[in-house]
Amino acid sequence: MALSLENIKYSLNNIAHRKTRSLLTILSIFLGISTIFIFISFGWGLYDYIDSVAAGGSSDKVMIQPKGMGGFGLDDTFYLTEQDVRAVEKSNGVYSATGVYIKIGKVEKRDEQKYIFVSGYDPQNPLVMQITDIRIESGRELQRGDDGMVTLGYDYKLDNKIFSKGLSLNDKITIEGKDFRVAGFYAPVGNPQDDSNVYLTADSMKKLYSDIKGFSWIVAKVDKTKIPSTVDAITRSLRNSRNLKEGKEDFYVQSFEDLVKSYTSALNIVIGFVILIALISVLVSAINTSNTMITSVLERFKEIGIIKAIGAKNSEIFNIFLFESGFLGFVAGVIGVGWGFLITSIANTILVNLGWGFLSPHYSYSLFIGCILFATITGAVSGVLPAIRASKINVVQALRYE
Amino acid sequence: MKLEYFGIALKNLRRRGVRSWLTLLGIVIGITAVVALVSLGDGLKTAVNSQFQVSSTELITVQAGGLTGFGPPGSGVVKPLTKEDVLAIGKISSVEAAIGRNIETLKMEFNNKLNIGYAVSNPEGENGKRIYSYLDLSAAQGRLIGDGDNNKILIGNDMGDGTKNGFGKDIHVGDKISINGKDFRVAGILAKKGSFTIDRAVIIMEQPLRDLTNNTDEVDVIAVKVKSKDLMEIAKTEIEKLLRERRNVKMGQEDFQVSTPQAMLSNVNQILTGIQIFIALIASISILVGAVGIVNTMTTSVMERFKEIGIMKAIGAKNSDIFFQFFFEAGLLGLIGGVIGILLGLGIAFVGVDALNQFIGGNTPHQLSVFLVSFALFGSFFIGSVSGIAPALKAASLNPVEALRK
Repeated sequence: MALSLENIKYSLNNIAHRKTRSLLTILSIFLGISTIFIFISFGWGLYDYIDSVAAGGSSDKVMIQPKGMGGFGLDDTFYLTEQDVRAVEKSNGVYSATGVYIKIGKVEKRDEQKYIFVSGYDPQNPLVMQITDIRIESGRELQRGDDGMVTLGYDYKLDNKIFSKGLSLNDKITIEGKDFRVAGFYAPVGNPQDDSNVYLTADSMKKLYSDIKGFSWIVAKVDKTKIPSTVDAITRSLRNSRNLKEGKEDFYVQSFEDLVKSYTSALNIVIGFVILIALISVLVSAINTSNTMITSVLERFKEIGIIKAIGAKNSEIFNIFLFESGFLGFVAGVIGVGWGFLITSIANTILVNLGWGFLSPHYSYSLFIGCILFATITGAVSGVLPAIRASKINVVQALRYE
Repeated sequence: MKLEYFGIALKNLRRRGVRSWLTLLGIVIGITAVVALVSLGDGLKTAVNSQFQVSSTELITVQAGGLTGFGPPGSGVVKPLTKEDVLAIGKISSVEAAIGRNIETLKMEFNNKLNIGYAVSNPEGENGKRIYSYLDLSAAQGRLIGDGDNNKILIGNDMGDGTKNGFGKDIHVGDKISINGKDFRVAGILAKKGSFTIDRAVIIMEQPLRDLTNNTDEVDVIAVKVKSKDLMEIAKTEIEKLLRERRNVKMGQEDFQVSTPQAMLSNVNQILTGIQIFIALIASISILVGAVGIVNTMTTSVMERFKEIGIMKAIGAKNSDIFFQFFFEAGLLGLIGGVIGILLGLGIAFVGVDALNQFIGGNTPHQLSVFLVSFALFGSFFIGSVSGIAPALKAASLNPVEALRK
């Protein structure tokens, strides 16, 4: 039953003999495989990124946001107050809580102006920084009483990113008409949104925006083991402090974990869809492989008859053809994975340069082996019908065949 | 002469039975995928556009600058527009009317449930009536609101529907809704517009809305009606010039946006088109794979017919005759695959658009893109024949003596 060395040699000879067709078959399989490799590796990389964010300083954080439309800081119909922060802090399971201001600011340097999210936080309780695990790259973090000082995302250091000329420490920039001095830059986070943030102390934020109504969100550090009950406790105590009835909350309380989960399910759909489309090309290539194998069986009609006449078993013939198509798939898989690796590496370099570093491909043995295995199985499966056909050839008819 | 090639090609395709069908199947699957996905993308684009596009084409929109695009108009703005800006724009000669509007997020209570919804202001006086006609709004039930309706509201069609408004109960004319703690009575429900910006809105007269939000002077968005369509660009330039002076900014540093309806949609469309192209590109890989299948089949076919080609040449067939025979055979494979693929793809898109309509409750029409169909048809023949070039050249350059000896 097993494939003998001789059978393998025979199969390989056949493949080599039909050079052009074998190459074309391999080409058609590897196109699909490398596409799938590329998307899985980038998709997996995105999951890695989400996991790393979730596992970092954010797993013990709960966020409280007022309801509203649009993004953070855009809609100040509802806002959170100092009193709310204290109510959150007093809830069961909460270690500490702090409010964050977010506003849109007109940021100017020389003749250029940009509209940017400006965040104000309490430097003595920098929970907001722990969420994104963002660290200072040069200079220093804001401290209490740092009036007139600002820390900036990494993109401000670069030329032609936010401003045509990158900024340095102690440079002056104007926010909403008031001058600030750069105290520090944060290390790159890898997404353009976070890397263009501007941070002030909560105190200078209140001075800068005299019309500021309240916090755009509250971050709470909680007992990691009791997140669901803590979320309930915070909701209850905020309801009391804001004098609201159950079901009429004008705020959301969400653990960071839940937030990540909602992103992940959206991501699943997108990546699944793209891979599904890429799978169509694998289907087409399987049809091509079947076609090649059918031709090959037809061409070797007489040959198969002879092999059978001198004693080859049906199962042996079946195995020979199955091995042939499986081997084509295997070679295509290896080349496909190689191409995929090359393309994802190049794409990664380009993405990093564009400031989209969080989109980086994931490489692992399971991905490489999985793709090659998938290609081999696709090849083998496409070869099943032709192989059955070959094994059932009637010896007498085959020998008579011209 | 050319018809003859097709005749021979067709006969040869039929002769190879299963293999022709398999090659065809490959192309069909690829073309089907691309046609279906592109048509679905077109449908989605139309659906999204109808969600945003409500204004008549002669309406220019003015907004203050900031991080707009993350929320409703007026949010994310640094230096808001004012009532005076509205008056000044109204005085420009090419402008028929300038109407300031406010869009606010508010707390709405009904059926003992609280929701966050948004309210749009309707100006008092003549402009209030104008905006109904510009936006082509009419009441499906009850009536529109006007001067003096200070504790009345007008609601969008979806807001009246208990399954869509989040209150779990239909809202009828005469019902009372509490907005930011103040009671309002529903005077009318608007006819369905097919856009969430109207269908999910609550319309309140301008002054009561200002009172609710303690806003005396700020304006979120200015709708400018131009006297005639030809004056659009002129009006836009004049408004920009006026606002630069009023807001004291230099050219190129505008902290406001003046956009025509087309320009407002172009951003969304750009993103959607980008996604569409990306998906179509990935799906095209299967067409490419299908093309490789054609090359393969044709190569085999040339080898099988070695002797036949030799005989044809021996009795006087020119190299070009042989070339065209194989070239057309390959092209025909592509073309037949294309026709079947297009039909299947359009069918899938047809069903898909229905599903989309079910899902978002819209009424996106079934579109047939002549461009897409002709492109796919021509493209499939082109891909087929290109795939046939190498095998056909090989066939044409055969030495008849050697071929006959085989």
